[in-house]
Order: sequence, then structure tokens, then C-alpha cells
Amino acid sequence: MHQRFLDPQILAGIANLELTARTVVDGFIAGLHRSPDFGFSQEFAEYRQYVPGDDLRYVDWNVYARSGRLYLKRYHGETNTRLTVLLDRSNSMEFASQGIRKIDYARYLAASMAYLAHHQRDAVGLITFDDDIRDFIPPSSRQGQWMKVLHAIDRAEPGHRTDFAKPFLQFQEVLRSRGIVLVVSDFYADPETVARTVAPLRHRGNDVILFHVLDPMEVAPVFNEPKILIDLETGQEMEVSPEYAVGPYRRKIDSHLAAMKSEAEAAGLTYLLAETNKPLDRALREYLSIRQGRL
Amino acid sequence: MGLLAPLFLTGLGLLALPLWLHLLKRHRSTPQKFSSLMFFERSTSASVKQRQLDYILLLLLRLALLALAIFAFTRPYVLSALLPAEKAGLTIIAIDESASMGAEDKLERAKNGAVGVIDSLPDGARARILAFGASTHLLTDAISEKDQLKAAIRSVKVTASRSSLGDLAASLRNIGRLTAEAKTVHLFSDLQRSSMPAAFNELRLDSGMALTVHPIEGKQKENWTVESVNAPTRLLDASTARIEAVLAGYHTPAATRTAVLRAAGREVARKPVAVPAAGKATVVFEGGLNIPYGFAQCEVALLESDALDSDNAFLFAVNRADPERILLLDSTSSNASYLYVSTALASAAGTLFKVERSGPTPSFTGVSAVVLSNPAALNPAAEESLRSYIRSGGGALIAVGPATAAAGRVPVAGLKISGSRYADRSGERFESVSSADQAHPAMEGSGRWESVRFYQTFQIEPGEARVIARLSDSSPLLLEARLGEGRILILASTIDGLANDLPLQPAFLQFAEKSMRYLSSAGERVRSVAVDSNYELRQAGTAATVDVISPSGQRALSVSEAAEARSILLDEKGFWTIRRAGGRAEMLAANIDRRESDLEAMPAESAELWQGAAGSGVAAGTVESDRGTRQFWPWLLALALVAGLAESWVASKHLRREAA
Repeated sequence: MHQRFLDPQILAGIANLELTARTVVDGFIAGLHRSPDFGFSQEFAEYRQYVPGDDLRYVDWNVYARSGRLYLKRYHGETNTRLTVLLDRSNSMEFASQGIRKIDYARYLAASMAYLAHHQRDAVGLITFDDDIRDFIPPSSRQGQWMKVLHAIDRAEPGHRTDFAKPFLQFQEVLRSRGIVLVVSDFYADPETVARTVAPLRHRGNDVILFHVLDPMEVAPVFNEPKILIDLETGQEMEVSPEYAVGPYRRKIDSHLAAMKSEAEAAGLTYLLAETNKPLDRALREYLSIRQGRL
Repeated sequence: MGLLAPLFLTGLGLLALPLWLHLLKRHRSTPQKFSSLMFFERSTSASVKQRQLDYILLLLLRLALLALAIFAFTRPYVLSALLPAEKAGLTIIAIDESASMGAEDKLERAKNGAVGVIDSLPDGARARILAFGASTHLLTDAISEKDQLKAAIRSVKVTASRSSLGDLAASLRNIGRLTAEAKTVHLFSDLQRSSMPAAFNELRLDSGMALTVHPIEGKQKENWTVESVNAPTRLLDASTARIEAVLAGYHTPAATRTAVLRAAGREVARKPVAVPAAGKATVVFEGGLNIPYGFAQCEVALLESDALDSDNAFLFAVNRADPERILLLDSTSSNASYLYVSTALASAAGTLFKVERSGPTPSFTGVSAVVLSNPAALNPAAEESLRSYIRSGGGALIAVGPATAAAGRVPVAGLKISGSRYADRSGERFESVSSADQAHPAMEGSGRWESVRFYQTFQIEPGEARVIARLSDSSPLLLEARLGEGRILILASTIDGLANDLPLQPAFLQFAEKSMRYLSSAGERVRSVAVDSNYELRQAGTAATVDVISPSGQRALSVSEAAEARSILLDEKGFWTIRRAGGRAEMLAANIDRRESDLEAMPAESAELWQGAAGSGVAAGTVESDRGTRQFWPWLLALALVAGLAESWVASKHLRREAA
């Protein structure tokens, strides 16, 4: 019943971003996230063989008595996590070929994720950026945080060019505590550069998920006649023939997507391609399944 | 393959228009915003190439449309074998019987070729034979009996006519309209260049008529001819005759030819003449031309034989006669009129005229013209005698004077005289001529009549008479009335020097001579004409019988024609004799038209073009072959139409796509 409300074209007709997020999430998920941190809770997780340096307090001596081997007893932590959404609001996100802009899709996605986290009592934060950080709301689970995040998402309109290097250096400063980092962008940059820029977040113990938002026309453009294309970020003009769009361009974008995926996986990042004509729940489901698998 | 109208190929320049539109016209690409051009490369050349490829079909269709239309206008044709169906239908065999076909054995070869065509016809096929020169003679109807057709072919003989391919084409067009069936014309002719009409279009044949030309070529083209002879038509003194002849050569080298003057059946003189290569030379015979009185048949001929012998002699007729008798009737005893008239004629025309004064009972027998000076009322017998003389072709000059005015009318002519007018010293003193018809034979070359002073004139009511000259008060001065075949000139003043000074003026000499020539017809007699010329026998409304004897000695006119015919076609070479009422006779020499002397054939391209142009849309023959030309411009136009429709469809498809 709720599936039809996950269609981006239908969601575009809902003016209220909160209502959009609620519509997406309410019919989709219930329950809690598992904390990415193992801790001292009562719910047993696994045994692990002792290695020198491990805290001897966690050794299960009973097992040692029976088997003569040292094992550490591990438990699932029942703590809440921190979700930080990094939303790209560069000019290239303005593009739309069939009604819904990439920035709108990204906002729905960010709002839905934020609502999902808020629903689980997780701390939620938001950073919007283009060639600099434009909005920064530190993660928090306090009352009113959700609305602050929602307003910030609502304010996010394309205005400048993309530059991953500068804002991500600042992210490393502000995202010191571990949690989930959700990067929503069209990633018009070299995949290696993107991975190199984002990977430090992963190294600090964050789970980083890259949502690659693209318009279908960007993935598989079709022109009936030669077009003069105007770059939304640089204003550069270029005459492009239909045959180029269906030939070399397709090969290049496919190669770019493949490189993005492989570079992300190599850097321990989760990569998801989200085309703006695809329902949002697919992205959420894939996100949650990946999260579940990590627990 | 050939083109009938290759000039239309210049229209191929129009092909540049679609090429310009498709290849050179600046293309505008639609601008569109895009996320990033990170994965695009500038590829303008590829874009243009794409655009050309995109419209190449439209371009090709437009080029094809223009090219096909232009090509159709050039009326292309291909040679192809005649279809059996085209071989059937009516076969028309046209054989040239003009004088030039008498050269060598051209006519025999033509007839043999025609017989061969008849033999090749399938049994039951119909054919029609015709011979042509200046006009066309149908020798048979459309029949299938080969024996009759061959007999008609064998009956064709060389005539003295000139050939006219334009007249032949007109006849063929008329024959073509009689039936709708396909017709094949086999033309056997030497195709002289001189036979072609001025405009090639006159050779066109109707659609459905195929033409096969069988040129009869001669081995020899060099031909000399006596082109013209300038000889006196009336010979008064046989010892001072001067005859000039012009010899002409066609495609000839420089050569000496022998010209012979023959008169009345015997040779008078012979002279060698050097004729330049393909040029002309003049030979003059002077001295005695001792011929008997009356008309003599004369000729200047070339002794040496050449390609065409029938044009080697030029015939002309000379009339040896005594001076023309002019009878002067004067009601007064004055000798002035006789003096002035006889002196003027002697001065202007030498011994041509002899003026005689009439006695109390005039006789008009043997008189060429009559001059009546101030005639009073004639006695009825004399007037009737004069009237009868004029009706039969005689002429009279009546100078009206006081005695005539007293009678109140002009004798014989019957015109009423309403009064006389004096120009005395108290008034304008004299009258002069205000207008005159200088084209009238009696006034021709008579100079300035304006200087003549008329002191007394008589006012004549012209009635049906023609006014030739008027005085300054617009009253008629000189009139012409017709009576039967004769003419009457009426002068509204005297010729005795009393009522005017006309006899003292130079204009009178010319007037006296010209009017007497006109009235006596001494200056009209043409002695040499071309065969196929029409000769006028009489004016309209005259009923006197005219008898015409052809060169072969037969009467050329039937009894009814002799009474009514206004002209006769001189279709035979030789001397024609014309006898009129009153015992007057004329002799005419009819010569072969000298255009027949040039034996050069029309260019082969013209013959092929004629065949190609004949019967558009159907097969036509080629020279001496069993193949025909087929025009396919209708197919080209149909293809152009298809290309146009396809172009419209493709263009609308592009427009829809661009609009989308």
C-alpha cells in the first residue's frame, strides 16, 4: 500500500518534506539499529580467540577450564548510533530530465534517512556542501533536532560548483566520533579522488555509504539531433551529436560508475547508485540490508 | 541516346540550390542544460556529419527531382528496334520528284528503294504513295495491293518543280489527321539544303507518325547553271539587242564554260565564260538578234554537261514588234496636243510609241492606247467602238477641256462634269497639285507636280473612279476608271498648254510615258518566271476569255476556267502562251527554280533530328535502318513526380521530428 508513495514522481507532489519522509519510512521499517560497536551487554554475539594484547577481563575462564584455550566472549552493544548525512547541493544537482531534480531526490533520500534514524532514537546530523560547507548541524538526539535537520535539508538549493576536497577536509575535523556517514551526491569527480577524499572518514571508524544520485538521462542520454549542452556548474557550452551521446558517452559513464563502485569497495565504502526514476525504498532497503549485514 | 533540346541542360545549375541548402546552410543546434560536460568531448565535425547523413535522403530526393525534370525537358531519346506493332499500320512512301532528282539516276534509285519498302511490308499491310515537289501529289489511296503500289512508284517522273520539305511536312500532317492509326513515313529524297524551310519547326510531324529518311545521295555535286538572263521583252530594233546572262557554279572549281544564245530555234552566238570557283560570271551578247516579228522563244544555255543538265538552259521570250500605236483624238483643229504628246513620248521612250492623229472615223484596231484631248461629245457609234476597244483590254487617256465640259460628262467613262474653275489674276492666279499617289504606275517617277500651274480645271464627280491626284482645292485632277479589262485615265485639265503649263514641265515627259505604258500594258509583260509560279490572268469581275497554251502545246484551262480563272499555276518548264480577247497574246518562259541547282544535301544531323522530332512519343526510324528513336521523357516526368512525392513525405517527417 505504501509502495506507491515511494515513487519519486509522486513524492514530488508532496510539498511538505516531513510528510514526504514520514510517508517513505512509516510503511517501511520498525525496530532499532544494531550498534556498530561491540560492548558489554547481555546479548551474546560470538567467541574470539585470544591474541596477545586483548583485555584479560573479557576472557571466558570457563571455556579455558574445559578446553585449555583462551577465548574472549563478545556481546552486541545495545547503544544508539550517530547518523550524519552529507548532502551535495552543487549546481549539477539542479539537473532534471523528467520532472524531478536530482537535488529533490537527494533531499527526499536525506530526509527519509534522517527520519528513519530519528525514529530509532539515533542522533542525526546534517552537512550540506558544494565547494564549501554550507550548513552544518552536529549529530544529536535531542528534542527538536529532527526538525532542525529537516529545515536545513529544505533550505538546500543548488548554488555553487562541487569541490570534494575542501569540504571533506573539514568533515574529518567534525566527524571524529564513530557513526554512520551518508554521502548523497552525483559525484562528478574522479572516482579515485572521491575514494581518496572520503576514505579517511572510514578510517576513523565510520560506516560510510555513498549514494550516487543520477538522472536517467545522465546514465543513458538520447538525443534526436545535435545539441548544444550547457554545463550547469561551469556554464561551458559544447555541441554534441546524438551519435556521440549513445556511443562514447555511454561507455565513459559506464566506466565511471564501475570505477566508482570498485574504488568505493576497495576503500571499504558502501556504494549505491540511485537513479531519480527509481523508488526510494529500494535505496532504503539496500541501505538497511547492508547495515544489517554489518551487525 | 541523344537529346532533342540539349539547351535545357543548362538548368542543371539549379542543382546547386539544394546542395547549398543542405551542405552550406548554417545549422542551429538546440541548446540544453546538462549536469556536467565531464564525459563529453567537443565533436562539431561529428555533429555536422550526422546532420548531413540525417538529411542525405532528402537531398538526394531533391536532386533527383530537379535532375529528372530537367532531363525530361531535354527530350532524350534512345535508338531501338521498331516493334512489330509499329511496323504495321499505314506506311506512307513519299518520293521526291523535283528537278534535282533528275541528276544522275537519283530518281531510279529512289523508286527502287521505295519498291524495296513495299516488298518488305507484310502481306495485308496498307501503304500510300505520294510524290512531292513544290506541292504534294497523292498517287494512291491507302491500299494493300503491292502491284498497284509498285506501279504508282514507277509512274513517278522528274518534274521541273523545286522540292519543298516544309510543304511535304504540312501535307503529311494533314494526312496524319485523317486516321488515328500509327503511320510510318518513308521519305526518298536527295534532301537538298535549299529544300528546307526557314524554320525547322515547319518540318514537324504529328504524333503517331514515324519518319524514316532514305537519303538519295549523288556522286557529283559540281553544278553550273544559267542563273538569270536580262533581255529586252520587246524588241523594236533587231540589230541592237543586248542580252546579259549570269552563270553560277555550285560547289564547282574555277572553269570555263561555253554559253550559247539561241533564238527562235537557231544559235545566235556562242561565248566561252570563265566562271570562278563556286562563283558567278556574267556574259553579254550584243548585236543582231534576227528574229521574226512576234514572240520568239529564246534561251541562253551551257554546252558542257554537269551534275544537273536540266538547269543548264535559261528560257526567255522576246517580242519583236513595231512601235506601240497611240491614237490621238482632238476635237479642236489645234496641233498642240499632238505636238506635246508625241514629243514627250519620243523623248522619254524613244521609238517604243508612235503617236498618230485620228481621222474623222477612228479605228481602234491595232492601237495600244488612245489619247482624247478636249473631247466633245462623240457620236454614238464612235463612242461604242471606243468603249468596246477599252473593254477588251485597251486604254485611254482623256484630257478634259472646255468642249468636254460643254457636253457635261466625260465620254466613255460617263463621269459627270459639274463645272469649270478659272484661276484669274484677281484671285489666286493658278492652282497646283496638293496630293498625288506616287505609287500609281502612271505617276511613278513623274517628279514634282507641285510646280505645275493649272489656270483652268474642270470639276469631275469621281463616282466609282479612283482619284490619283488632287488640286489645292481638293478637287480631283487625275482619275482612273475601269471598263471591262481596260483602263481609263481622266485628267481634269487639257494637255494643249492653254489651261495649264503641264506640257512645258519635266513631269509631263514621265507622265506621258508612264501613263501610255500603263494603258497599253507595254511595261507589264513578264517574260520569264519560275516553274510553280502563279500568273495573274485577269482582274476581278472581268469576263473576257483567256486562253492558255502550256509548253507541251495543250490547253491548260477548261472552257469555264478560261472564262473565270484569275490565275494559273505554271507547273511546266517551257514557254507558255496566253491569248487574250482582242487578239492580244503574251508569251511566258517558265524556268526551273534555281534553288534546285544547289545539290548540297542537308546536314545528316538535321535529318536525324527531323526523324527524332517526328512523332513524339512513338518510334521513329533512322537513316537507312530498321531502328527507331524512342523518347522517354514521359517516364522521366513520372519519376520526377514520384521523387517529388517522396521528397514531400521525407520532408514532412523531418519537420515533425524537429517540431517534436
